[in-house]
Amino acid sequence: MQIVNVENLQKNYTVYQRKGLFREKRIIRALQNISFTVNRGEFLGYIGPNGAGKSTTIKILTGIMTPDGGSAIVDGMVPYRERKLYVRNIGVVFGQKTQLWWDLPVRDTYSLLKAIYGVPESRFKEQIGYLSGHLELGEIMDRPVRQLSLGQRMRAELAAALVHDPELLFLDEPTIGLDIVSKHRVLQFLRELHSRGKTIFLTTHDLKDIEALCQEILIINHGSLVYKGTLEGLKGMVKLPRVLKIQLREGAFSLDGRCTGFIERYAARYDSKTGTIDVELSDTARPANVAREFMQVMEIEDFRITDPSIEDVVRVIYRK
Amino acid sequence: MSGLAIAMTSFNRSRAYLLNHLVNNLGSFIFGYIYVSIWKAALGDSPETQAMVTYIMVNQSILWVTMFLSRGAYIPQKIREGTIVFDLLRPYGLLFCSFFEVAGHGLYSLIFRAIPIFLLGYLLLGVSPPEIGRLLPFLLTLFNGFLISFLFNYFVGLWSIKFLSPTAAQGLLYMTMNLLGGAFLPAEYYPGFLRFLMPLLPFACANYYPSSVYLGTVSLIRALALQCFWIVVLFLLALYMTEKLTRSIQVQGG
Amino acid sequence: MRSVIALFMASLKAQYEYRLNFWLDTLINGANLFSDFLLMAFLMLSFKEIGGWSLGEIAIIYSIVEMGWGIFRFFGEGLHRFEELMVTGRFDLLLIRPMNTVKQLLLERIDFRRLGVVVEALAVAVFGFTASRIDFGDMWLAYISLVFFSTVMTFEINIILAAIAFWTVRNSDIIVLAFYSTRTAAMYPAHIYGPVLKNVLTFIVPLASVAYFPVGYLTGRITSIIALISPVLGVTALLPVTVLIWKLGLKHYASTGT
Repeated sequence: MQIVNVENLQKNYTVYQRKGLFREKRIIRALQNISFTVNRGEFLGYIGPNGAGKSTTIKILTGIMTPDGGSAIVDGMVPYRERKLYVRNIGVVFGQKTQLWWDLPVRDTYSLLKAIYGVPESRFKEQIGYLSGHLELGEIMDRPVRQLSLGQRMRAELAAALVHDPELLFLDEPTIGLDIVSKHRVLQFLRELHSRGKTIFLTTHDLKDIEALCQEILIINHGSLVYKGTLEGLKGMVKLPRVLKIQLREGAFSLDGRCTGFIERYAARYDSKTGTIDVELSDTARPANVAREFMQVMEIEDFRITDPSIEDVVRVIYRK
Repeated sequence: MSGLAIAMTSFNRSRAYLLNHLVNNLGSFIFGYIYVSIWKAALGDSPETQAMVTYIMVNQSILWVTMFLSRGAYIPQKIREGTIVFDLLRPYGLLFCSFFEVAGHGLYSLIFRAIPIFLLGYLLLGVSPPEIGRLLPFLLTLFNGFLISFLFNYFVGLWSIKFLSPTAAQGLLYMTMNLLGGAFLPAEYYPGFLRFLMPLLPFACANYYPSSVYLGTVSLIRALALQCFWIVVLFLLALYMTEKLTRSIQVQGG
Repeated sequence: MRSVIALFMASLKAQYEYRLNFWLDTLINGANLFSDFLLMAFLMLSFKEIGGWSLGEIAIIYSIVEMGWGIFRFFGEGLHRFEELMVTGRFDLLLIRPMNTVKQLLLERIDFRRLGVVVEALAVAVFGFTASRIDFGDMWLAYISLVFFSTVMTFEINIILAAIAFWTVRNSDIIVLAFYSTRTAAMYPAHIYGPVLKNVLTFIVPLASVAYFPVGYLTGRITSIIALISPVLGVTALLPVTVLIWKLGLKHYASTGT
C-alpha cells in the first residue's frame, strides 16, 4: 500500500553570481530525476550530505515548493496543487524553525492550531492528553515559548505538528542540537507513533537515529538517489573490509625494523602513541591466522575484530 | 588603536546594506519634500522661504547622523543576542567601545546617507549650498550634534541593560528629539516660553544649532558654548552610570 | 473566526503579563506620533492656514490616515514584519497549514500596544471637530466610513509591499519609501505638493483618496463628485492589484524558495 509515489522529480535553481559589473547566471540541478515510493506505515530514513537535495525533496512533498518536472503523489493528492486540502493530513517539523508562537504559552499555540485545523474539542483534549503524556509537556504547558530550553522546545514542536493527529509525518532534523536525554525521549516517542501505524519520513544527519528507528533508508547525493532499501542491504552494497584491532602491551610500543616491515606488508596502520594496530582483513583472510602471525613478532595485550559501521559505509557513498 | 579598528568594522558592516540605504534615502528625501511643501504653503512667496527650504533639507540630511543613530548604541541588540558579555571581557570600557562603534556607523551615514539626501535637495529643491566660510563651523557643530546624540542613544542602551527592553526609552528619546530638536521647526516658531527654553536644552544641539550655523542665523560661539556645556554634563553622567551599571549587568537568554 | 478569538485572548493575556511595560509602551507609542501633530500645531499658531486649510480641518484628514495606520498595526504586525519570515525561512511554516497565508499573517500577532496610536488619532479627530467649523453631528458617519476605507487601503498597500519581499527578501526600506513617506504626505492637503507627489497620492499609492479628496468635497473646497466617491474607487482599484501581486509572489516563492 503506497502512500508516497514520486516519479522523475526534477528541480533546478537559478543563481546569479556577481562577476565584476555583470551577473552570471548559473543553474544548479538540485534534483535530477528522483523516483521512489513509500509504503503506508513505513518508517523511512532520508539521508544525504548538506546540499544534496534533501530539503528540496521535503519542500516538494509538503506542498511548499513546485517541482520543475516529474510528479509527486502523496496520499492520493499532488501536494503543491491541492496544498490547503493536502496539509490537513500531514504533520511537519522543521528542526531549525519554530512554528510555535514565540510570546505565547505553549498551551495557547495548541489552541490556535486546534482552531486552524478545526479539531473538535473532545478529540483535541484526548490528543493533547496523549501528547502531553508521552512528551512530558505538563511542566512546560503554561510557559511562554521563548523561555523554553532547546529540548523542551523540540518536544513542544513535535506536539504542535501532531495536534490534528495526521497520518503522515515529515520530520526534518527533529533531534538537531538535543542532549542525550532529550533525544532519547524524542526517539522513544517516534517509535511509539510508528507502532500506532503512522508513516514517518525522517531526515537527519545522525545515523545512530536512523539505525535505531528506520527499517528503510533513502540516500541522496548531488541531486540523485543513490540507494533505497534496508540498512543491511546498504552494508552489502558497499563492501568494506572488517578490521582487526590489535592492542600492544604497555611498554612495548617501540617497534624494531622487523615489526614495521611486518606492518607494512599487511598495509596496516600503527598508532605509536596508543599502541594500536588496525589491520584491514581481506575477504579471503582468516582472522585467526593473521592474529597468530602478529602475536609471534610483538607483545600483544588484546585484540578484537570490528564490522564496518554504518557511518563508514555512508561516508564511502557520500564521497562518490 | 583598537578604537579605530572598531569604527572601521562598524563602517564596513553598515556598508553591506548600501542598496537598502539608498532606497531609504529616497524615502527620506520625500519626507523632506513634504516638510518643505508645508513651509512653502505657509510662507508663500516671502524671502524667508528659501532659507526655510535650506533649513529643512539640511536637517533632513543630517538626521541620520544626529537623530536616527544606531538604536541604543547597539547595546539592546547585543543584550538580545547575548554578545554583550564579549564587550565586557574586553580590555576597555563599554562607553569607549560603543562610541567607536557608533562613530563608524555615523561616518558611513554621513557619506552614504546625509550627502546623497543633501544632493537631491540641492538638485531638485534648490537648497542653498553652504557658504565657504560657514562650512567648517557647520561641520564642527555637526560633530558636536553627533556626540550629543550618541550620548542620548547610549543612555537608551544603559536603560536596556537595566530594564531589558529599550522600547520605552527609545520612544521617549525620539519623541523629545522630535519635539525639541528643531528639525522641523526653528526656535523662533515655538510658542510662549518654549521659544526661550528650546534653544537652551541639549536636544536643540543635535539639529537646531548645526543647521542654524549653516544658515548663519546663530553665531558659532553661541552654538559651541551650549553644545560643549551639554557634552561635558552628559559625558560625566554617562561615565558615572556606566560605572554603576556594568557591575549589575544582566544578560538575557543564555 | 474562532482562531481570531483564540489569538486575541492569548495575545492579550501574554502582553498584559508585563503590565508596566505594556502601558508604558502604549502610552509612548501614542505620544510619539502625537508629537508630530503638536509640531504642526505650533507651526500653525503662526500661520493659521496651510494651503487654505485650517489646523482643525487638517486634523481631520490627519486623523483618518493615522487611524487606518493604527488599526493596521494592531492586526497586521505579522504583515509589517514579513521580512523576518523571508529572512529566516519561517514562511514555510505558514504553507504547511490549511489556511490562507494572508489570514495566517494576520494571526501572527495582535499588538495591543498599537491602541496608543488609535487613541492618539481619536484625540486629533476630537480636536479637529472642535476647532473647525465642521460639525460632528453631520459628519460622524462620513468620518467612520473614511476611517474604514483608510484601514482597508493601508492593508492593501502593505500586503503589496510585503509581497515584494517574495522577490527581494528584505523590504523594510521599500516600505519606508513607498508607504511611510506617502502616508505622511497624505496627512496634509495634497494640493500643497508638486504634480509628481500629488499624482502618486492620487493614482499610485492613492492614500489621498481616503482623506484629502472626500474631506475636501465635504468642506466645499473640491466640487467634483468624484472626490466624494474616491475612497470607494481607490480601495476597489487596489483590490485586484493586491490579490494578483500576492498570488504572483506565492507562485514565485513556490518555484524558487529562498
